[in-house]
Amino acid sequence: MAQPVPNKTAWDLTTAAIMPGGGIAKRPLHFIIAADCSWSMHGEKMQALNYAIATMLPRLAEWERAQENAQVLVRALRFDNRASWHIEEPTPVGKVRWTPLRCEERALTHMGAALRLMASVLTVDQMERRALRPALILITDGIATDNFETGLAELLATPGGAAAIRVAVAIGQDARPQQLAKFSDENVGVLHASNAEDIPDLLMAVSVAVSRMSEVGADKANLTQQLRQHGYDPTDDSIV
Amino acid sequence: MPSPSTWQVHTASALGAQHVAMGKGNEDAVAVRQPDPDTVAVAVADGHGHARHFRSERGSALAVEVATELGATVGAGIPAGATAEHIERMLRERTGPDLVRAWLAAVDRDLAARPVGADELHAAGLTKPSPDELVFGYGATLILAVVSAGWLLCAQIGDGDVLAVTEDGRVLRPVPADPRLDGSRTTSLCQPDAADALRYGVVSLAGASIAAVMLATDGYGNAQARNDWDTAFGTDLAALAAAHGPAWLGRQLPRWVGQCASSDGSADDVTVALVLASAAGWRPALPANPDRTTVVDANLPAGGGTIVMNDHTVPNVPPPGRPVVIDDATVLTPGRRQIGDDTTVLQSPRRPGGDDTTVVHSAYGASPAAPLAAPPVTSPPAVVPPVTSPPPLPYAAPPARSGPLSGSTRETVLLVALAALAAVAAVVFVVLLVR
Repeated sequence: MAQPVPNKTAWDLTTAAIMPGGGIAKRPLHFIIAADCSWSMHGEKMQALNYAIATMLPRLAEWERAQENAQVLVRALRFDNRASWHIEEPTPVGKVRWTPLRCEERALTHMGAALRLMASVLTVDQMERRALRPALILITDGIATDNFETGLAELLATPGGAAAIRVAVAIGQDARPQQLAKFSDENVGVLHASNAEDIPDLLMAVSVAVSRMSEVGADKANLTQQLRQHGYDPTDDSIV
Repeated sequence: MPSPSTWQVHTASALGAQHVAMGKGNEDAVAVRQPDPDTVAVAVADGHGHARHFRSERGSALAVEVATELGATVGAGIPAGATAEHIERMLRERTGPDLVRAWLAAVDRDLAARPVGADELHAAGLTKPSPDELVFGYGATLILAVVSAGWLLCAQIGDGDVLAVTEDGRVLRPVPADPRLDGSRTTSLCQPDAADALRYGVVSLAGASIAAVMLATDGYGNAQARNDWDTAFGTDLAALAAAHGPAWLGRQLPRWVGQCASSDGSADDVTVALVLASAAGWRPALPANPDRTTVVDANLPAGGGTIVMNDHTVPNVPPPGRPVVIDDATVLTPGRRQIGDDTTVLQSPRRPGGDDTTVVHSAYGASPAAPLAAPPVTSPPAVVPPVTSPPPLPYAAPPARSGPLSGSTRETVLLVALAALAAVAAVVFVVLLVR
C-alpha cells in the first residue's frame, strides 16, 4: 500500500458526482444555549456560567466524536432587554471558541424574546429535514419580564421546537420553576441548584453517564430517571 | 418515451455504521419479482430499531416478500383502458388491505415456526406479550413499486423515499408526503390501522417519460447533505446515465449505498432499489452536481504528477485543470484550493476483491483527520467565523471544595455544575431518543 508522499502540495479537488444527490454528511444535531444576561446575573454568576459553558463544550465535542451518526452544531443566544445571537451560525462543537457573555447594567429578563429567537431557527425552512431532534438549554436566575407565554407558544409551534429536548436550568431562588417547567421537556423537568455538597459528585456522575450512554445495551430509561433525580450511582450494574 | 418492455433492476443494501457499533444486524430488506419482461415488482423495507421491535429484521424481510408477490399479481392484472384514478382506487380498496393482511399472516406463520424465546422477550422488556405486542416486534416500514403495462404503481407506509426520474432528470414523488413522519416517528405495518396509513401513487409512464424509479429506506435520504437532494438526485442520475449507461449505474449502487451507511453519512442501514428503463433516451437538462469539497494531498506540478489519497496513489495524473480519472467510478476535477481546519481526507468503503479506492470528501460533517499541508495560496473560507486569539478568561474555575462553602461560593459552584449538567444532560436525552 502506498504511503503518503511527504512535503507535497495540498490540492483541493471536487469530485464529479461520486453519487447522485449532491454529497453526504452526518446528521446535524442542533444544540442551542439561551443564557440569561440580565443584571441579576452580574458578577460571580456570570463568571461561573461562562466557565461552565467553556468547560462543557470540549466534553460535548468528545461525546460527538464517539457518535457514528451525529454532528453537534452549537448556537448560543443571550437575553436581557432583548434577545440576540451570541453564536449565530450553527457551529461544529469542536470549533466553538467560547467568548464570555457579559451582563448589561440594569438589564431585564426578556425570556419570551429568547424563545422567539430560538423559534426563528427551528422552522421547516431553517431546519434540515434530516436533522436529529434539537437540544435547547435555557439558563436563568429570574422570571421573565416580557411575555414568556407567547414566546413559548411560538417556539412550540415550530416542528423543531416542539420535537426538541428542552432543558431549563433555574439558578438560585428567584427563578420561577412553574414558568420554566412549561419550557422543559416533561421527562426532564427543571434542574435546580439545591444541594451544593452533592454537585461535584453529580457532575462526575453525569460525565460517567454520558460516556456509558454510547455503550451497547445501555439502559437509557434508567439513565434518564437517574439524571432527572440529579443522582447517579456509578456502581449501578444495570447500565451495561 | 422509453420503451417499457425491458427494465433493469439493481439493488444494494448496507449495514449502518451505528448498527455495526451496536452489534446489530441489517434490519432492512429488499426483494424483486419480474414475472415477465414488462412487469417488475420491487420493494424495500426498514425494520424498526427500538428494542421492542425485537424481530424487525424478520418483519422487513416478510414485508418485501409478500409485497412483491402481491405486486407482481396486481401488475399483471391491470386492465386495458384503466385510468390512474381507477388504478389508485384499486390499490386503496383492495391491494393495500390485502398487503397488510398478507404481512400479518406471514408474521403469524413466522411466530408459529419460530416461537419467541425468553432471551428475545427479555431484550424487548416483555414478560407475557400480548398478540399485538408480538406483531409490534416485527414492525417495519415498506415501499412497493410496480412497473407494468405503462404504469408505475406505488404503495408506501412509513418513511423512506420513492422517486421517479424522467429522461431529462426531473424528479417526481409519486407518493404523497405524510405529515406524521417528522423524522423521529414513522408509521408502520405493525400499527393497528396500517391499511389506513398506506399511501399510494400512480403514474403513467407514457405521459411522464419515466426512465428510472428509485426506492430507498430512510438511511439514504438522511445521509444526503442537501435539503433538495431529491432534485439533485434526478439531475445527477440523468447525467451519469447519459455518460456511462445504465449498467454502470448498477455497478456503482453498492458503493453509493455503502457510503450513505457509513459514519460519513446517516450511519443507518441503507437499502436502495433502482429500476431503470433499458431503452431510456437519457438527455440530461443539467450537468451533474459536483460533490462537496474534496481534498487530496497531491503533487501536481505544472506538467502533472502523482495524487496521494490517504493510502492510495494515483500516478501519472495530468496537469491541474484537467479531469483525473481514478477508476470507472470516480473522476476528480481540480477545483479550488481549500485547505484548513475543515478539510479532511476520508476513505471510501473497500470494494470486495478490489483495491482500496480512497475517495476524499470534506463535507461539512466530516470527521477529524490528519492535517494536510498548508496550501501555497488562498485562504480557506471558514466554516466558523474566524476567531481571534481568545482573550484571557475573565472567569475563573470555581474553588475546590474544602470545608463549608460560603454563600457566594456555593452559588458559584452550583452555577458551574448546573450549566454543565444541563448541557450534558440534554445531549444524553437526545441520544436516548435518537437511538
